[in-house]
Formats: sequence, structure tokens, C-alpha cells
Amino acid sequence: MVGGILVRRIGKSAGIVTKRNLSSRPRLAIVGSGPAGMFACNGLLRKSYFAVDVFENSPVPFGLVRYGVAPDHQEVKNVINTFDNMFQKNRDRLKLFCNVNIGRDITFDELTRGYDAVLLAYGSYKTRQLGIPGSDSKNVISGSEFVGWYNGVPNVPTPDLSISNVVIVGNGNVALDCARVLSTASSGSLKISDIPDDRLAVLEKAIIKDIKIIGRRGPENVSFTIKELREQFKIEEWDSKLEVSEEDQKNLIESLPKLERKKKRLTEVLVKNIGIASGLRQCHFLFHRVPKKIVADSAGQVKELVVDNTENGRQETLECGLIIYSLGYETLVLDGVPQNQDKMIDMKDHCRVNMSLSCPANVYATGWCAHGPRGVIVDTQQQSIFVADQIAADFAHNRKSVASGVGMLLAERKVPFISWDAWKLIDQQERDQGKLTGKIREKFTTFEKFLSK
Amino acid sequence: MSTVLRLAMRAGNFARFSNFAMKPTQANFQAQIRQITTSFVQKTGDFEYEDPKSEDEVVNITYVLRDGTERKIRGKVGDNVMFLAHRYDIEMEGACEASLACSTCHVYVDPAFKDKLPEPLEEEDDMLDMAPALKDNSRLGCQIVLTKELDGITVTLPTMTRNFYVDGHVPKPH
Repeated sequence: MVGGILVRRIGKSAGIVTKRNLSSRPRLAIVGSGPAGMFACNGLLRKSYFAVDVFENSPVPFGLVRYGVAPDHQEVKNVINTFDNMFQKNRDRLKLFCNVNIGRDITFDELTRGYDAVLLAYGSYKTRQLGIPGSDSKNVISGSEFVGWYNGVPNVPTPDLSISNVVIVGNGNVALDCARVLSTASSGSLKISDIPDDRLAVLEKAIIKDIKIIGRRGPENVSFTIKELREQFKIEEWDSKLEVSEEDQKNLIESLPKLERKKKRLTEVLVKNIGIASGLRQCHFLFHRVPKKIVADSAGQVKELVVDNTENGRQETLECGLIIYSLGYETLVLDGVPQNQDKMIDMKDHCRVNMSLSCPANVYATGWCAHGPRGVIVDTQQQSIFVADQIAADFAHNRKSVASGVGMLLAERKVPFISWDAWKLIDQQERDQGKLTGKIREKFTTFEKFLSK
Repeated sequence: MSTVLRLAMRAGNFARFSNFAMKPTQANFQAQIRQITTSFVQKTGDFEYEDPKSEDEVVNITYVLRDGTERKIRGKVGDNVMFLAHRYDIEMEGACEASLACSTCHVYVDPAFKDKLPEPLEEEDDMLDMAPALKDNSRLGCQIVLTKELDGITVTLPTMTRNFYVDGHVPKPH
């Protein structure tokens, strides 16, 4: 630490010796570097005096922008340019600590002692489980695991794609992303995207001919967004159809005049694509199917999914060599953060966490960890702007602070992290390596050599 | 705005442009995506940093910010409303940089000017469907290009209030 008056004092409880710089800016810690945290960060740098430290559990930043957004939706990742500019322009007061887990490397309590304000923006990373007999069979994976795999998340097991039939359980965008990636990869159209080479090779060799996307409720309840839904029906060489009963079809059509704009436009796309899928490669949207049991072959790999058809009361057996289930996420509450009866973060209002009065920092939460895994990037962005406004207002008169951050703790515990500069090095190398084969980037899946020593 | 600041911003913008130019693969990819979907407004935003060359080019636009304050800007024919906002540090996001993949630049257009804008493409409507607090006069800022006919237009940034999130808008499960 350079400059200013340095004061040594004993830390509040753990007997940690910390240096306190009396003339420094107020300090904010953001947990999570996904869109929720970064949009809020951008707003706060614009309208407050905060020095901001961003903590990210992964070795590289940006959360679901890097590891969630589909590889054929690169335009969505343009937002990284905004975050890039933000880090470059604010080098004096914005720091990134990737590969640091709040809870394991630094506790939440330590964070509240090291900062004037803490913003939780760590998303929802626990997948809701299928929870039926046979769920532990081989090649039964969650949508987030499959998305993470094709997006290059380190240490994700490779699914077996040398099968012809797939069942995807769930009626949200993750289900559509998985279906689209599975049905377009063999055409070579993802070659120039940012799927890691070794994983792309597995996708391109896939011989999948039949995908069933099943939902437990009716077609009127789907959570797809319209762009992704349209895309599935436009995939070449694939015939994708909603295979619905006459009654469902009639209800959908009759509901149209009463629906509000968004639902109406989506329902129009659904109605337009009702039929029976045929041809060499088929994608079937099936409804009112409740998964009951998974049957495995002698090698332990899934071979059938047994479902109840709640519309006709019959049980059906869907042959499949791969099941991807995408039933949403569960929120995880960090140790030390108050939890409510719904097992979510206990919020005092829309953005403030209901901390005890003895908590030394103001604690806020935004994005999926605060409000559940709902909505698309614009929802998160709007929430984050709101939260940034609120934090800035709470600290409008605080220009000085004695908070010391957790830099000393990280050093003491020898926690290896990846800084902004180290990330930019990774970023450049990924782009350079991608260039060699005409790709946007070649995502690395190991980062040991970039970690701080 | 001081000349120094403007030059600095322009330099920053050039840096962004050269950065863009250095990424041919990404450009190709986007070009491919564009071919598959449709043609739409795609700019890097440099143009908006040029001042109008004559009065004939000037298009006055008012941005109503989220706190209700008005910013009157002298734009010019051809300016993209989102990139123009960025030039003047108006807090309008543009997460996907005008590639019609998000709705973070959602604005309300002065009803008197609504019909002077070209009809939205299907892609814009699809993105507007995702915008919180959608109204009849909602458009994406990145799809509005200033023309002489739009002189005097007002665009309003949607206001986020606590009540809005508690009562007004429940995002769908993903």
C-alpha cells in the first residue's frame, strides 16, 4: 500500500492485523462478475466515489455471458465490450479477483468487515434436480451442465453424443439452447463460434436424429422466448413441430384474441408450428408429460424415459440415449447471509439484505441470487441500474472511508487469483489461438499458469 | 463539452473501432448471422461522434432521463439514437451494440413522432416483447435513425421504481 496515512490496528474479531488508509474512497465489494454485478458496477462507478473490488468464483469473469449465452448468439456477448471499457477506464478504483470463492477463501463476514458496502450478485448456480428413480443413470445431465460443457466450463464431464434419440425435459430457453446446439452442430455452423475445439469435435460427430422436448404442463405455459423459439423452427434439415392434441390446438387458437402482446406473438409462433414432425431429423415438442422413471441398459446408460401423459392418463416410454433436464435453478444463500423461509436471501426491500444491526457494512443483492432465476439480460440490467441508484444514494455523502478490503487476507492465505490484467492476457491468447482456425476465440479450460503466485 | 474531453472520447472511440477491425472472425460471424436473419442497423458508433456539418443536417432530439431531467442534444441526420446517447454520456445501455439481440436500449417515443418512424422489424418486435414496462410507443433506441422529419423528437428512458418491480413486472422463469 502506497501513500496516505497508514494506521495499524487490530481487526475486529479474528485478531487480524490490517492497515487502514484514512484518506481512501468508500469501498464496495461485488460478489459475482456476471451481468447483474457488472451492470450495477458500471452504474456505481458513474455516480459514486466507490473503489470497487469484484470477486468471481470462476477463473475468468462475466458469468453467464461467457458460460451461459449460446455460442450461436455471439451478439449478446457484445456486452463484454461495455464491461471491458469499464475496467480500462477505472483502473484506479476497480479491481477484479477471479478464482476467489466467497465462503471458502474469504468468508462473507470478513467481506462485511473489509468493505463499507457489499453487493451480492452471484446468480443461481444450483440446478433443480429431476428427482425420479434412475436419475443417476449415465448420460442423464442437467441443462446447465450441458450448456457449461459446450461453453467451455472447466472440468465438466463429456456427454456421450453417439446416440440417436434425446429427450430434453423443460420448457424454457435452456431447453431450446440445448436442442438448437445439438441439432445444428453437425452442419458445421458452429465451427467459427467459441466452443472449445475438443468439445466441438464431439458435437460435430453426434448422430442425433430425434429430439423430444417435453413439458409437464400445456403449450400455453411455455417459458420460451420468441426469438429462440423461432430459431428452432428454422433449422435446416430438421422438422420441428408442436405435437399437440386437438383440444390444446383449439384452446391455443381461441385464446389468441384475449392475450396481451407478448404472449400473443409467442402463441402465434406456437400455433403456426403445430403438426407431426417427419423426415430424417425430427424435433417434437410434447406436452402434459410428467417424467416418472429412467430405465438404464446393462452398462448403466439411460435407454428409456417413462412418462405419464396427463392428458390421456396413459403411461408412455420414450426411447433415448441422453436426457437433458432443465427445470430451472435453485438459489444458493452464502453462509452468513440471512435466509428466508423460501430458502432465498432474506431481503428487507427490493435491494437491501435484511442484515442484523451489528453488521458493519450495508449489504445489497441484485440479479438472480436476489430475485430468483428469472428473466433475460434486460431484466437483470434494469434491476442493476435501480440497485446502483439506491447504493449511490445511500452513500451520497460518504467520500472517505477506513475500510481496508481483503487484500491482506488473500495474501496471508495465499489465495491464487486472476486479476484484470491476467484476464486480459488470457483474453488475448484465446483470441489469438482462435484466429489460427478461424474461430472467434479458443476458450481455455485450464488456467493454472495464469494464477497469481 | 470541452474540446479536450471530446477529443479524448473520440480517441476512445477510435480505439474501440480499431479493436473491432482487428477481430475479423467476429465480424465475419456477425455478417453470417446477419445474412441468415435479416438486414438491420449495424454501426460501431463512430459516426455519432461527428458534429453536424451544416444547419441543414441538424436534428434536435430530447432525451428524458430516468430521473425526469431533459437533455437536449443537437444530433444530425443519420445518427443512431443509442450511439448518440453514448456520446453524450446519457445512461442508455446498448448491451448487444445494435445487433438486435437484447432490449437494453428500450425507450418510449413521443407519440407525435411514433408514426414517422419506419415500422419495427420482426426482430425488433421480438426483442421489445422482452422489455420491461412495454408500451404502445416503445421502440429500441438502436433502431431509430434520425431524419429531418424527426427534428424535435423526444425519447424517454423507462423509469425503474421499487413499485415497478414489486407490483408491475414479474419476469418469467428462464
